[in-house]
Amino acid sequence: MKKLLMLFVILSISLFAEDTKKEDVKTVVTPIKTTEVKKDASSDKKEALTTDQKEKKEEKKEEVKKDAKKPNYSFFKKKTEKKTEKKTEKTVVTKRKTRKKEIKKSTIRHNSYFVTKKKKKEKSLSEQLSWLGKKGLRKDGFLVFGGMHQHLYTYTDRRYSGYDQGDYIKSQAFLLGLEYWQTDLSSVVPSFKDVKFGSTFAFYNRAEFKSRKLDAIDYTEWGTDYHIDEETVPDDKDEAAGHSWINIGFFAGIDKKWLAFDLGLTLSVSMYDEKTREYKDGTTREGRGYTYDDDKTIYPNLHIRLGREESAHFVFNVLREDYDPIYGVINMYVYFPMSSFFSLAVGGYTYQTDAIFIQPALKFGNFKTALKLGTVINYQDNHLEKVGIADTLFANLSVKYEW
Amino acid sequence: MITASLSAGELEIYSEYGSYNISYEDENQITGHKTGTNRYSIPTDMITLGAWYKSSFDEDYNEVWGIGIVNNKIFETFQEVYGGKTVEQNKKDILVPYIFIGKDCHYWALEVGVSWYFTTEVRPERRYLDEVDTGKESWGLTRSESHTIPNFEIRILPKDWFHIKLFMSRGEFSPIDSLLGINFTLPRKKLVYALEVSLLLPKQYLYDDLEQLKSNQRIKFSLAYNGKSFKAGGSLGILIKNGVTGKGSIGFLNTLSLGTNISLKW
Repeated sequence: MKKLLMLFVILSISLFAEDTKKEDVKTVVTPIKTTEVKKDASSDKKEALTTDQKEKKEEKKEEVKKDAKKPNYSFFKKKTEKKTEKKTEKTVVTKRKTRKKEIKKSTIRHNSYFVTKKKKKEKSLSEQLSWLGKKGLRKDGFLVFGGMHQHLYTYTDRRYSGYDQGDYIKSQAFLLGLEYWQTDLSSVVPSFKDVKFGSTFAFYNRAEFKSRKLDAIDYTEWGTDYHIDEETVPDDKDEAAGHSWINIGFFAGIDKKWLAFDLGLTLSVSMYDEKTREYKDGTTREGRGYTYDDDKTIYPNLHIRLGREESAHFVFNVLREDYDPIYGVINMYVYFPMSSFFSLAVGGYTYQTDAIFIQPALKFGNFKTALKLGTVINYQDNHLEKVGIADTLFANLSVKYEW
Repeated sequence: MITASLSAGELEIYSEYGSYNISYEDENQITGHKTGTNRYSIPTDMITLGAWYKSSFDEDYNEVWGIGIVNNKIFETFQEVYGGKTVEQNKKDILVPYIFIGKDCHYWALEVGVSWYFTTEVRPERRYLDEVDTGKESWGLTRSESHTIPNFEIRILPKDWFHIKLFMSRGEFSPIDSLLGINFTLPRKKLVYALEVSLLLPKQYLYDDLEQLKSNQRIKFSLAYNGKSFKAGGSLGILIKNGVTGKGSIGFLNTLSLGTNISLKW
């Protein structure tokens, strides 16, 4: 207890002493001898300097302000660098992608049938139907064609057994034709860019039928004797005379990328070479030469193309293109472009005969030469069941020039 | 489901067995001349074999092309019906090769082409009435029953969904039973259900000529298993109207036809 008291006394004394020291220390401020600054020229210089300095300072301030306005290259540089880096990266990536695609294309096997196809984005229905209005090739051109085949005169020969009593006489026939068309009539009417207009001409001639004598026969059937008299076919000389047909027509239509539709009219006129005229009293007189038949008719002509003209497409013709005015009035074919200079068409006639033909073609620039070879399947004549194959063959040669 | 893409190629082979019914008029029967109920039919075997191939040649424009061939064999038959009258059918072969091109988009498809309908028959040798019958027979083209016809197939709605097809001389057709028709197909998971109704040709509604092209009318039910790259199935057909040889009562079993088909896709 005594020790604690002594310690307290010591501490209090020490504290008191410091306080007293502070109180006791009086600051005596002695005046500081200051030297007066005399204004000299040097001091003026100092002032001038100061103005210059001031100006410099101001200039520096302005520069700082300008620098502040200017992009902080140190800061923005990174960003632009990044952007350019990104751009360069992007271009590099796109270049790599395109290069990969090019490599892929070059390494893909040409036999694409065995390559798995990737699913592509399906177009909407409206997008799919928009292709209907796309423009076609808009070409002008003309077509010259010619051909030959056997023309058959059919008759019933009662001398044959069974139901097949038809027979025929043949004569040589040839045909010539020309077709001209012009597309893009916008010079006439501005909106007629896909409109097509043209004309067609065809000439068909068959030679005279040489008359045939059918002998008289006697036969027995179911115990009864029958007799058939001698006959001459054809019995009408005008019918046997050489005949010619001339078809003149014109057409107009639209020629789009996926569809072409032409409609027109064709006048068909037939003539025959009247060599003699026979009378009931048995006399004959000289014929009048080439005379018009009553068989003059106007028919519609039609041309429909489904598919792109430069690609495989289907064509349906009535009195159009390189048609046969008698045997191939209605014809149709499927066209395949095999290469840039070779194409193949496969088709047939449906009226007045049913036939099959193939038509290979060679293309040289704007010229196209085609050879049509075919055979008639059905003459659409009740008399004709059996016809020699050689008599059914036909050939057509055509040259087309387009520009 | 509606994500079908145009396959690079497709090949199908199919076959069918049924009856070819030859109708005749029983002239001995008094009743039925006006109504046609005095007409009857005798059957003979008929086998159909066909194949077609379709391929895309321009994917950018969804263009396709294809070829096919169908052979219909009718076997001969000879039957005495009444009072010495006989009804006979010679061996007949119908061959229909065809070619087509078209555009096969997702929601629809239009394919058109040309078909050639060749009819060949065994015929006795042609002779004059005063000549001796040698009895020789030979195959020959029956020109009056041979034709060149257009073929088409129009598909409405996507292939992998319920769709309707209007066809002529296309698909799994029979030249005698189903030259022109409508097909309703419903693919459901791994199975494909189909109902095909064949129609008479337009000319058959207007007039009846022996030489014109004719077709029967029938209904056919098909069921097939649709695998990843192949499809195989069978069909059952029922003859509704005998448009080829004419009206005549037919036994029910002679109206049925059974078919099989297998197709490969890649």
